[in-house]
Amino acid sequence: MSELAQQIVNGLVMGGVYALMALGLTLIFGILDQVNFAHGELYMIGAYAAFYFLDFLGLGYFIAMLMAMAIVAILGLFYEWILFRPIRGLGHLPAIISSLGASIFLWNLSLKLFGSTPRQMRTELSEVTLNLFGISLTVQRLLVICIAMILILLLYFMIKKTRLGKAMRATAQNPEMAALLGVDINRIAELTFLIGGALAGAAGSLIGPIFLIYPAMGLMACLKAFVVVILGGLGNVIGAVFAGLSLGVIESLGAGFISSAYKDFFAFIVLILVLWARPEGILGKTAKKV
Amino acid sequence: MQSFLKFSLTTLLLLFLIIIPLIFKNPYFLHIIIMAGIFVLLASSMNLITGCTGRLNLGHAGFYGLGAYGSTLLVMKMGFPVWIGMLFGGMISTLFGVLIGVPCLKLRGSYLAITTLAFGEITRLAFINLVELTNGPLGIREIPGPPPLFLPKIGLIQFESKIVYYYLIFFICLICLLIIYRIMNSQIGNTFIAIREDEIRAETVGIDTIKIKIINFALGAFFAGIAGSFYAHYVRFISPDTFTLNETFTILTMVVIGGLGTFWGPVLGGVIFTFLPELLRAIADYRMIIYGLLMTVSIIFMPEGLIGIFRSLRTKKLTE
Repeated sequence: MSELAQQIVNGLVMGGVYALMALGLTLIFGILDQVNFAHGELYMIGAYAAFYFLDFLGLGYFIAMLMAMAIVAILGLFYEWILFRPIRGLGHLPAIISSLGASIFLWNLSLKLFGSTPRQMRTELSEVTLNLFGISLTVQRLLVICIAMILILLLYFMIKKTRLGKAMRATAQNPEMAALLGVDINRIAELTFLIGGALAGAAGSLIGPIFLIYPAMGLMACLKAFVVVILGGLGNVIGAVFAGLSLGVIESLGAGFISSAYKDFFAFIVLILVLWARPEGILGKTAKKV
Repeated sequence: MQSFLKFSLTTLLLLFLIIIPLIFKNPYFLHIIIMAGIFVLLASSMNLITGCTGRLNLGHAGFYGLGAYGSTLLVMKMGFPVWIGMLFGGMISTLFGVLIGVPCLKLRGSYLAITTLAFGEITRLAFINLVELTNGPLGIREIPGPPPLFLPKIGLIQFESKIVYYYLIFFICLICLLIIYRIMNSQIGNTFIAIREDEIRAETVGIDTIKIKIINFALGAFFAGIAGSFYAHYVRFISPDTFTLNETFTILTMVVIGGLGTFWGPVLGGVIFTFLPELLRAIADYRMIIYGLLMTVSIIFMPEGLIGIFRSLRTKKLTE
């Protein structure tokens, strides 16, 4: 029983990270109708940024994380300017190829810059272990869930309650109409990429102290985030959160009770099952937007 | 005049390709040309899917690998003759292509790109983890080559020297590219383009878009599988390291830089990007960084690739 609970909690930690990644992707998809294949590299660079701030500049963990989020958010802005704006409105394929090219570029550049040996981020928080009801959990893991939830709630209220959020929703529903009513679509696009970048940066710096940091980490994370986006329904924010947590738990249970060698298979099986049975996502009606 | 010029150029090219082994006898050089043949086939088959119907296939290395492993295992474990094994290698790829393609292609949008990206990684993991079958990361050694072939008037052909393999891949490429050319310039090729340009409109004029997309995807997977099975029986050693995501990205670079949706683009790209890393040894280490950059720059500034540039130069000349 406690084994099961332990696996579920571990799954929720990973699920929080997936949800943060998927939120950025689903926002970009929902609002701009573009698919960002270079999202995993934002996460990877976020992890490396936090690692260097922490280890070389000796900043505190939270400051390092905020700085990493800022850097990755700015990188997201460059994504929008360079990769997506020149080909907006030309359909999905050009955007996928341009972002995929950027992903390959950044991934292999990081391999040269940071080396292929995995790095381990050390924080005092990952040394402290809590014992709750027979479940052991480092403070760092607890932190992942808490910070992910705080960021998700902040984002949700921003989208639902502020004027900017309203402009974003309007753009998602009908870009031309929104533009006619005075919404500056380019500003909204920049904002979307800033938010997506910050969330991916947060995900990267949260996962750094738990797992290893290496240049290829972005790829699998990006794939998982895509699975989450599809599972939650394209462009659906609440769906992405639930789907992210579910995928984390499914993977953790699969790895714990079936086989850990096939851990990455489970996400793929979930993806194929969802595409066969409920392509609009578990929570979606018909590709509901933000 | 135009078509005469095209015809004579193609004939010259074919003649040149036929006499290549008589001019260049260096085995290393021949090996690279043979690899170029494999990549031309891979790039052309990816172009059939990605260029013609506009559905990005990011699992091409997976289909390539399934062809290689499929043929090898059928020949070595089940005693199939090599030629039959090679054909079945292509069919195994097709089978998986249909299994993966059907759920994604029923939907619009980018589902195929995401699912095939996952599929490519999963097949590689399967090659590594199914140790009893694939010998894991160590790979399979001593794969038999094709048996001696008796051709009338030429005599018995032993598959030992590079020259013989060169003619084999030349022959395979010729047939496959002819089929791809015929497909692209036929009714069904037009329906591919109709789907790429506007899927909803294609449906309203009566095209069964789902069926066409699945046929298109299965064809692409088949040719990739054939390339894989040739590779296995030519190199005689396969391991999961050959069928990585980087391989898919390299093939995609060939297609995008050569010219998406054109017949000659992937052929040109396949040749250029097989020779380039060999010629520029110094940059071989930075290969993927450059490919990524080229891919992004190319899709933004020259969406039809090198072939598109040639075309616009020619039309400029004609209008002047």
